[in-house]
Amino acid sequence: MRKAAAVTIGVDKTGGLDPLKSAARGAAEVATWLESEGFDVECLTDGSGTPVTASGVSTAITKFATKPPTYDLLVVYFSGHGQWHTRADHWLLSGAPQNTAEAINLEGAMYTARKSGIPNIVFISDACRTIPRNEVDSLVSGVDAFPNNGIQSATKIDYFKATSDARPAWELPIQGADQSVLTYAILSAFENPEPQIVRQLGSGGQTIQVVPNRLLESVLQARVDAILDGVDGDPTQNLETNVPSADDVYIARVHPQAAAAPPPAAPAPPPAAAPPPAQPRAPSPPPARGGTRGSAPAPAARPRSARAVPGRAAADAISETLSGARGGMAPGVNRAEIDARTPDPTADHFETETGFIIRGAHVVDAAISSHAQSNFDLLNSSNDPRGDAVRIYPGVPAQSVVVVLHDGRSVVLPAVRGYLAHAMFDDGGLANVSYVPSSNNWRWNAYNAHREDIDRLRALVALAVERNTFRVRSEREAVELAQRIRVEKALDPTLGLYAAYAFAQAGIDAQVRDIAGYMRDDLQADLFDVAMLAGYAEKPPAFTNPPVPFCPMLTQGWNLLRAYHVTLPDVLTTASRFLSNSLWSTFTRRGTSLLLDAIKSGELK
Amino acid sequence: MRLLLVHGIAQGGKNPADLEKAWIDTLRAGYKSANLPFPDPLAVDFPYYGDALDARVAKSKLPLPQQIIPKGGEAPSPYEDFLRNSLEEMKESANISDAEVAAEAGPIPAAQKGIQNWRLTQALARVIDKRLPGFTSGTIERYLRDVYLYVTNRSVAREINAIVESKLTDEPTVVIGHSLGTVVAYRVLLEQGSKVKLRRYITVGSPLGIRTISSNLGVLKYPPADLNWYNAYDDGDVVALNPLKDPWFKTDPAITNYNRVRNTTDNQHGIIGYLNDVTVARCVAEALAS
Repeated sequence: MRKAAAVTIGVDKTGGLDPLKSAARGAAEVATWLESEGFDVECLTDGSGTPVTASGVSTAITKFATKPPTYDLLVVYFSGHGQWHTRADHWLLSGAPQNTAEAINLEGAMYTARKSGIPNIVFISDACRTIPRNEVDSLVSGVDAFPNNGIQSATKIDYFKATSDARPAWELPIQGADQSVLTYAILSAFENPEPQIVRQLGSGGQTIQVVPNRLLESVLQARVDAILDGVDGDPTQNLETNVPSADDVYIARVHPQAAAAPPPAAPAPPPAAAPPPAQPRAPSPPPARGGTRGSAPAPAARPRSARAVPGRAAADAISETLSGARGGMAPGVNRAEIDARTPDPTADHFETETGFIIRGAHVVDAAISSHAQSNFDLLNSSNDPRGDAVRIYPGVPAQSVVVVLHDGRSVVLPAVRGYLAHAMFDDGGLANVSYVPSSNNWRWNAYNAHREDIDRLRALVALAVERNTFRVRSEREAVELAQRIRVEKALDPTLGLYAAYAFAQAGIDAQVRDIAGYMRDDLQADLFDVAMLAGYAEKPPAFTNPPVPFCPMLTQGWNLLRAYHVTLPDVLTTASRFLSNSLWSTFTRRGTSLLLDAIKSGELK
Repeated sequence: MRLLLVHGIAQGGKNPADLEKAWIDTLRAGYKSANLPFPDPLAVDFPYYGDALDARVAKSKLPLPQQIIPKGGEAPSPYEDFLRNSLEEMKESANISDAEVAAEAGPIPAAQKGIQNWRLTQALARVIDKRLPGFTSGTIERYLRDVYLYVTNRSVAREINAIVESKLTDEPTVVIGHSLGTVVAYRVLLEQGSKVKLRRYITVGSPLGIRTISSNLGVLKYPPADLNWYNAYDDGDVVALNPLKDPWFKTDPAITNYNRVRNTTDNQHGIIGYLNDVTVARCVAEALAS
C-alpha cells in the first residue's frame, strides 16, 4: 500500500490584487477529496481570514518531506494568484507583495523537492503566470518551501500548471458557482473519466480503478478547452504539464460513483459555463456540489496549445536525434525557429579569436572588470561587415562581460578564449546564445566536421529549453546526450550548459559533475550555471578562478541560487529585480546601471 | 520454523560455521539466563557475505576518512558528505561536545574552511573510537565506509542481498539482523518478502536510526510479519544510539524498541553481547515457539 500526503493551499486575498472566490474553497475541496483517498493532508487557506504564510507552507511540507522519507507520494496543490517572473512561477501568499518572501518560488521548490527522497511528487498550480504588474510585484522572491534533505534518489516530479508562460488562468462560474478552471477540470476527470484514461491496478489485495497521471495529462487540455469554449472574451488556458512518472503513478482512484457506473457510450457534452466577468474570478455563493462535474468533452475538442506544440516537436526531434532515428528536420519544427537559433556563418572569426556577434539589437557599450586584464572593441554595421559585435582581447581564458544594448538593457556573458558567442535578441531580451569556435582557432576543424549536426542539435535544444520541454527522458537518453554534446575531446559550451540543467532537473548529479569537469578542462574556466548545478559555484576547486560570468547565464538559474546554497554579492541580488523573462539573463536599464557601476568600482570582477 | 541470521561488517576471512556457532552459543546463553529450554534441533541459516563485501570494498578503493586529503574549498564528494553527516549524528546522539572534538583536532592553522572542517570530522571519528574502549583506531571509519558502499552502490547491494535471498524459504522464519546485517535484511525482506513467511524481524545494534544511512533506503516501510518488529540496542552502542522511531525511523505500525541491553563486549556492539540478553532471548523464543 502506498503512503500518500498532500499539502493544499488556497489564497483568495493577496495584497492589492482582486480577491478570488474559489481559491480557498478549491483547496479545501481538494483536501477533502484527497483525505477520502487515504492521504494525510495539510490544508492551508485564508477562507476563515487566517493568513497563509510562507512559514506555514514550509512547515506543512516539511511535515511530510521527512528525512528519511516516509511517503511514496506527495501532492502540493495551490490555488490563488500567481505571477511569472525570471522564468519562475511565484505563488503569492497572503503577505505578498508587501513581504517579498511571502510567496512560494515553484522553480526552487521543484529543485529542492528532487532531493526529498519521496519517489513521486505532484505539483498542481492553479494560478496565473502573468508577468508582475509593476516593480513592487517584481520584487517578490518567495521561498522554496521544501526542506533541503539532500537525499540522492530518483524523485519524479509531475506538474500541472494552469496556463503557459506569461498568461492568465481563470476562475469563472461553472454550474452555478465560481470555480477555478484547472481544479474543476482535474476533479471532473476523476468523477467522469474518459474510459481510455482509466486503468485497473492492484492495491492491498484489491483491484482499484485509477486515473494515472500520464493519462490525466492526455485529456486535461481538452477538458479545459471545453470548459472555456464559448465563454465571453474567448479566454484560453494552454496548460503546461510534465509527467515523467511511471505508468502506474496516480493521484487518486476514479470517483466511486463513476467507477460503479458503466462507462458512457459516448462522451457527454461539456459543462455549460456562464460568461465570465471582465476580470477573472467573480463573486458567487459557494457551489452546491450536488451530482457530478462535467463529463468528458467531445473527442473533437482540440488543444489550444499552439505555443507548446513547437517545443514538444523540438523535444521529440531531440529524442529522435539521440536515438539515431532521425537526422533531418523534424516534422512540427518550424524551419525559421531553427534558423533563428543557428549561428551566422558569415561571422566566423575575430583576429583575437574571441568575442560576441550580436543580432536583433545594437550594442552601444560593454564593460569588463580591470581584474580580467582584457580589452574590447565595439563593432557595428557601419565599420564592420559582421554587423554589431564586440571583439574581445582576452587576458585570461574567460571573463565576465557586460554588453549594453541601444535600449539600455544589458546582458552578462562570459567571453571564452577561442569562441565567438552568437547572441540573438528579441523583444523579450536575450533569446539565444551559441558559442562557436572562431574559424582561426584550433577547435574549428573539429567543430566544422560536425557543424551541421551540432548546430541543429543546439538549435533544437535551445527551442525546447525556451518552451520548457527539454527533458532527459531516460538513462539511455542521458548517456546519448552526454556523448552528443562533445565535439571530439571538447564540449559545446551552450549544449553543455543546457545539458547540465536537464541532468540536474532529472536528478542525475553525476552527469552534471562530469560536464563541469569536461568544460573546466577544455575552457580553463567554469561557467557559473554549470558550477552552481555541480555544487561548487561558491567553492571552486583549488587553483581555479571563480566561475564566469559572475551570475547565472540562464534566467531560470536565478531561482535556484537558494537551492544550491549560492549567495551572490548584494549588488547582483538587487540587480536581479530588474531581470526580464527572457531565456538568457537580460537586465533592464536600471539593472544595467547597477552592473556598470559595480564593474567600475571593482565590486564585480 | 527457521532462524535466519544476518551478520554485520568485519566478518571477512572468517569461517561461517564458526560465526554461526558463536551466534547460537550466545543465544543459548540468553535462553539459559531466561530459564527457557533451547529448541533442539533448530533449523538455522547463516548467509555469509563477509568475503564478498570485503572484495567489493577493496575494489571500490574508497579511502578512510583519515586518508582523505581535502582539496582547498572543493565541494565535498557524496562519500565525504555521508561520512561527515553520519559522524555528526553520532556526535549528537552520544553527547560529544565541540570542545572534545576541538581538543582532539589540536591546533588548526588558519586555513580554508573546507580543510578545517574535514580535520574536525577526522578528529570526531577518533573521539568516537576512543569513546568506545573496544574500538581500535579507525573502526568507526571502516564501519561507515562499508555501510556507505552497501547503501549507495546498487551493484554491491544486489550481490550481498542475493547471498541472503538464497537462504529464504517458504517456511515460517524468524530473522535476526545485526549491525549492517539489519540493513541488508531490511532490504531483502522488503524486496523479496513474498518468498518468506516472516514470523518476526529482530534487529540488534542497528544503524537504521542514523538518518544519513536510512535516507538511502527509499521510503521507510515495515516488513509484514506475524509479530512486531523488535529492535534491541545498548544505548552505549555508538552505531545504534537512536531508537527506530520518529524522527529517526518512523514506521507504521511502530517498531518495539528496547534499549536496556547491556552489551558486555568491549565496543558494546558485538553480537555476542546482544543475543545473550535475557529480554532479547525471550523475544526470539516467543517468535520461535509460536
